[in-house]
Amino acid sequence: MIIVIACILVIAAIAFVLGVRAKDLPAPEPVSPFERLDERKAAIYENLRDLQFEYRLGKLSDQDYQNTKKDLQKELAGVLAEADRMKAQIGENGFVPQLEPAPPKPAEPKESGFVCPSCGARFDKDLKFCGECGKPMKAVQA
Amino acid sequence: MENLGSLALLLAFCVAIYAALASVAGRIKRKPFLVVSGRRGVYAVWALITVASGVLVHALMAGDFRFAYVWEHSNRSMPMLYKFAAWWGGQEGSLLLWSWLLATYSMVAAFTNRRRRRDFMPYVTGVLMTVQVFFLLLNNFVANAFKVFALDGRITALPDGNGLSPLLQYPAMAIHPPMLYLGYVGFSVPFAFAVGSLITRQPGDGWIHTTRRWTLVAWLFQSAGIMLGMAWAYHVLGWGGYWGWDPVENASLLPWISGTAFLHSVMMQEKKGMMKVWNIVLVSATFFLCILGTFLTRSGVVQSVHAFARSEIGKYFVGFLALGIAATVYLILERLDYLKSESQLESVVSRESSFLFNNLILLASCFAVLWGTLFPVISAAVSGDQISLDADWYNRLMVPIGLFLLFLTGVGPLFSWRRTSVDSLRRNFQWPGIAAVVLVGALIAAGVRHFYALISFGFCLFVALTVLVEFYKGSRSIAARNGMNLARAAVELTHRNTRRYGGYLVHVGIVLMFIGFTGQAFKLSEVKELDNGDSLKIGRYDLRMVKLEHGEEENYLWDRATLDVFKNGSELGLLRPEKRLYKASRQSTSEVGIRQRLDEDLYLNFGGMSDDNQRAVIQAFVNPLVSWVWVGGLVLIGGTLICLVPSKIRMQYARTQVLRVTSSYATVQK
Amino acid sequence: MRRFRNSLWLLLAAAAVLAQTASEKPSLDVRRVGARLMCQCGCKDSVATCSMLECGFSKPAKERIARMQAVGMSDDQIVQAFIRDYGQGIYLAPPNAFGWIVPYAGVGLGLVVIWLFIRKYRKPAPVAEIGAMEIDDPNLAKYKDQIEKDLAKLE
Ligand code: HEM
Ligand SMILES: [Zn+2]
Repeated sequence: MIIVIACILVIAAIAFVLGVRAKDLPAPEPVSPFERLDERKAAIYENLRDLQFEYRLGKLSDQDYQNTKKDLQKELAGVLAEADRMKAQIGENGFVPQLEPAPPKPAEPKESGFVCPSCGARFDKDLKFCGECGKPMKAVQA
Repeated sequence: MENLGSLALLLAFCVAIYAALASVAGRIKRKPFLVVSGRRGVYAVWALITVASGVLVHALMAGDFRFAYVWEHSNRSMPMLYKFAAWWGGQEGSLLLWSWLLATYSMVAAFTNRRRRRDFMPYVTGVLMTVQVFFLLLNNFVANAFKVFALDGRITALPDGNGLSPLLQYPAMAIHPPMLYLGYVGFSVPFAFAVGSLITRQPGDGWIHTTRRWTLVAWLFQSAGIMLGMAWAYHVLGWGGYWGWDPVENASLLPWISGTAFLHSVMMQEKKGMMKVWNIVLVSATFFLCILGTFLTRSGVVQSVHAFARSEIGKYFVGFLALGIAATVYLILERLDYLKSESQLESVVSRESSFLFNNLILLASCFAVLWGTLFPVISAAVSGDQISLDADWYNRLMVPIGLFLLFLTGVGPLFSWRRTSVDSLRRNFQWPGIAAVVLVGALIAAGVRHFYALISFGFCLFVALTVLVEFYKGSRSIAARNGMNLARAAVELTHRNTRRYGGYLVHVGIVLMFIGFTGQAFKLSEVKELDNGDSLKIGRYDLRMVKLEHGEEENYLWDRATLDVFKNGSELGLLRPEKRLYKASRQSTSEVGIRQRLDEDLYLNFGGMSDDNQRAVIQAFVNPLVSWVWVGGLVLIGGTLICLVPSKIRMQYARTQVLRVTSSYATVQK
Repeated sequence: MRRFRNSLWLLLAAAAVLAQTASEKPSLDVRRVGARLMCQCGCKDSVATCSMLECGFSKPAKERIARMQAVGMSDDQIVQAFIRDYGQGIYLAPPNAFGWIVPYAGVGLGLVVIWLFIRKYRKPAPVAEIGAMEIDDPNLAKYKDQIEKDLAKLE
């Protein structure tokens, strides 16, 4: 009995580990060349947002606020410029021709939900006031 | 059965070696087959160790006393809970638990990232499986839990087991080791990710984002484990305190401190792309301290620090630590160029610098504790003198460091990133600072003269107020903009940035714990031999012995004193400290009598019988403010749980332009 | 964590046999000498700090120290007497200054490292801090609008 169980255990382990069929192999995932830039951009936006919030709370002096904001904006512009350069490069090489013009910012149609008319934040619930900017957002459904 | 367990472990060992090699080879040679097969190896290792653990647990629950391990750590009369807990009651079992937890973590890490970060996940698997191989090596060949008794070549069962040490038969103690281990083991994952991203020279700090949750979870478990250990010591050991700075306690504290430093210093990398080398050094240090901690707690060499390298298992640990540290250091030095800082410091007075000091102080305390743990060994080796460092030594060293840490906890979050002008400082510090000074003045006027205690209370108020003000200002702003009441706004505020406000709550927890620690400065203790009718005076309490009883239960003999407690003349009730002597193990335990209140605990321990066997030796302590240590611990855990909730803010970035472009780019490429 | 300490309650039984008078509150003098002797009950502490109540070793040891002091023996003589009885292993050297210096030296070293770090990474002070929100580099100016727009949304 024990011997049978032991054999089953061994065979099962080996079969599971080595029995990788072709269809189990994942297709290579698309890699975005912008990943790193996106990350940086997101970080800078977060910092800016934080900064604004703290300023609003009165934790920062005007001077500090202005200086840091300027720094962050500069950095952000740098990142955006870098992204544009990459986009242009990709366009030249012909990989992604449709991206050549700096793309406008369309609201993606398949996204649904409730959109704040003043700031564009999106919520899946119907809110009376926008959770982001606080302005009223009566029944504007996307 | 025992064969099945051994076989599963042996098989797990082989599969783990295969998984480590296959993943790495598959990545280098770019063979997806090997990578996938290696990942499946991780799952298989988990399944096999689960089988082995299942066999052991089954044997424990069923009382299969053919197993040496079962015999040594359980007996028939033990409740089921403790039979299960005996899984980690001894060295072999607890190392098996370690292996199993690591396999579980590895499996979850491999599974959740199976489609992501394809270029470095194989290395992560490789690192995790290498650690797994080491522990399976111990499980199989050094501390095998499946040894059985044999008589004349035939496997025999013994009638009944030894039982778990009565000291450990407490609910808090039963879950304390797994908690600590969940913490210890959990740090392997961030470590593996760090090494993986270092090897493949990942741009950016993807490994930090991916592992922040892991780190927090591991840290949470470690905090919980340490708190449980303290609570257990306080309620069971009978010496009136909760922290004695002994090597095992220190071992659990070390990775917690360096983990705390890591949690903070990653923010520098996330926000500004600085301190990359340092972050790698910190995760590695934390991971290796976890291994050291396991070794100290589980090798049974606790008794004497001098036995470190002498025990057999110690050699393996020392070898593993040496190899691992050497490899990590080599890798870091090799990749220094890739770890270049991306930005600079705008100002010396800034959040950045406060984090530098935070790390300095945390690391200094980590080093001091490590030094204290190893100093006796070093000293004996160098000068031949034996030295013992008692709790006083640690306290004298750690109190100033701790106070400075407390101070930083208050001021750090008030500095803003990049630069903080005098004007900003004044806005944030003025009122909390004044309040703290007023408090200290009031305390002095009230007759408190203890220097450290004054400073500590002042800082506690300061930190608590700064956090309170943060919450208040934030909530007020949100309340005003969104038309909510203040309480809802506070919840909303926290939800929008759980990391910040959860972190602040953790800081409040630390403050509360410091209040509890400071109470120790005013501790009272008294020992007296009491007969019926005798009384003992301690502080404002009068204790009168009303009954002294002796008796016998199935497992143990007991002496119990019943004392009537009066405070300022009014009666408060009875306390019944008890001493038990377990017959089987000849061990004795204390059932202390504690009157726990938020202002102070009255703590009575039955020390034993006097020499003439007529009177009870009663040890009484008044511990002011200890309860705040437990309250603080709970707040700390709650705060950490909040940190784990995803922030609302994060989701807002998906709408920005570059991201939109990227996603279409990605679809086009497919 | 002190489970081992308590396991030595075994010795208690033995201790109870020896008739002694309790010396629960050792004087400062007793503590001073006791700190030089390792408690042999297995607790890793010194005789002075062994926190085991009714400890089979430290309790009688404290009484013995008190008796020896009562007859006028010096600290050294007492320690020597214990070493004669229990071997050199019982002697605990006072923690020398090394024990203190190293951790604080660590702090000092850390401060130096921080200082070096700050010196290395400190941005040179800008010539003049201007209050206006200008992106001065013309190459970046074109992004200004976009940033402002995004920022308005962030709030
Ligand atoms: C023993 C002491 C401390 C503990 C246990 C502790 C714990 C924590 C934890 C768990 C977090 C959340 C981190 C995360 O979610 O990733 C946090 C955040 C934070 N801690 Fe501490 N901390 C301690 C001391 C300090 C000190 C000394 C400073 C001073 C610089 C500090 C500054 C901060 C800051 C600024 C945050 C982040 C707030 C934000 O996200 O903006 N902490 N802390
Ligand atoms: Zn809005």
